[in-house]
Amino acid sequence: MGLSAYFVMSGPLAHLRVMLFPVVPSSETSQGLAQLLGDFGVAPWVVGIVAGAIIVLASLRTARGKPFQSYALWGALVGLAITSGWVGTHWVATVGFDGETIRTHTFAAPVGDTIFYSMTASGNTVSFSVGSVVGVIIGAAFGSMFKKQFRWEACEDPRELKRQIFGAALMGVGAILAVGCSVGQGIAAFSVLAYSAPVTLIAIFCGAAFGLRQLITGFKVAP
Amino acid sequence: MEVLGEANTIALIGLLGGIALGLAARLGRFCTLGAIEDYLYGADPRRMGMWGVSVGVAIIGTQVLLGTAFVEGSDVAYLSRAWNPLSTVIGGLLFGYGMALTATAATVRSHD
Repeated sequence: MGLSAYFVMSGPLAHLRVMLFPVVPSSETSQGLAQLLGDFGVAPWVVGIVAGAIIVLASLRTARGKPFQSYALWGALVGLAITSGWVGTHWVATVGFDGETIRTHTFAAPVGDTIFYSMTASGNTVSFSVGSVVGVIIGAAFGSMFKKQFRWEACEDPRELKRQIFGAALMGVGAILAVGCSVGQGIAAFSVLAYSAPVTLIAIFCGAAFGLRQLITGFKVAP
Repeated sequence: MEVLGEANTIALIGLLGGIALGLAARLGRFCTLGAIEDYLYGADPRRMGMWGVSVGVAIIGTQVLLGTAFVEGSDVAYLSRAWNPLSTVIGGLLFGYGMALTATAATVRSHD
């Protein structure tokens, strides 16, 4: 997935991507939903906080009486981790002089960054993405060991291997075209209320629903 | 930061946040595909709810930062490029479909 993201982002297919979907920097206004409403005299961040609170409250209602506490706590931790990325990188960018960009946890290009770093570390500097990707692997490994679930997995057969490699390649290409994966657009871009975030999420949901249907029930016409 | 250097400090911040995300995935079962699957096939919307809580908390946290002018919105890459809706939709569909294809055999078999 990291490789295919790079393949389209800056590799052999980069020119084709830019030709089909030109990247236009917008100089005038921010591409944010809150900024849009802000034109009517409301401070964008007030709109944002209200929107965030509504989403949290609506999410808490999904439990319908079933235990939800641990889900809510872990979900909140994820939200805070994304926020911590903005805080931390902004702090270093403000205090430091190297012109570090402001970013947070996302997982399309960073997986590629990590592969690239592992091949070029002696002539390269470590970055937020590399730390973040390695962190997820460490966190997931410790989490599994803690639950005594750690095990190596392999594909059942060549068909599954083909399906998974093909799927991962599509994820990389898709994430670069959508400018972000489920976490990058879904949470990080959503947290600044970019227009693109909800649209990407709906598209990801539809794509996944289609794929799951193909895998689980197939597309046989009902007799 | 003086000791570590800027790039290393940033990587360390990334590492700590990444560890939190990894733990959430394993211990908290945070998973986008899993949430969609539970919702569509398991009649259990709670993992979708967990996802929603993450988005909501991230929005509140980030907007507080923007409100206190601690972070400048214009510095954020997601806001500073013109939006191409077609690219977003095609990319999202490809990503979602690819994500479903990478599901493990156990996921699929549990519905046989």
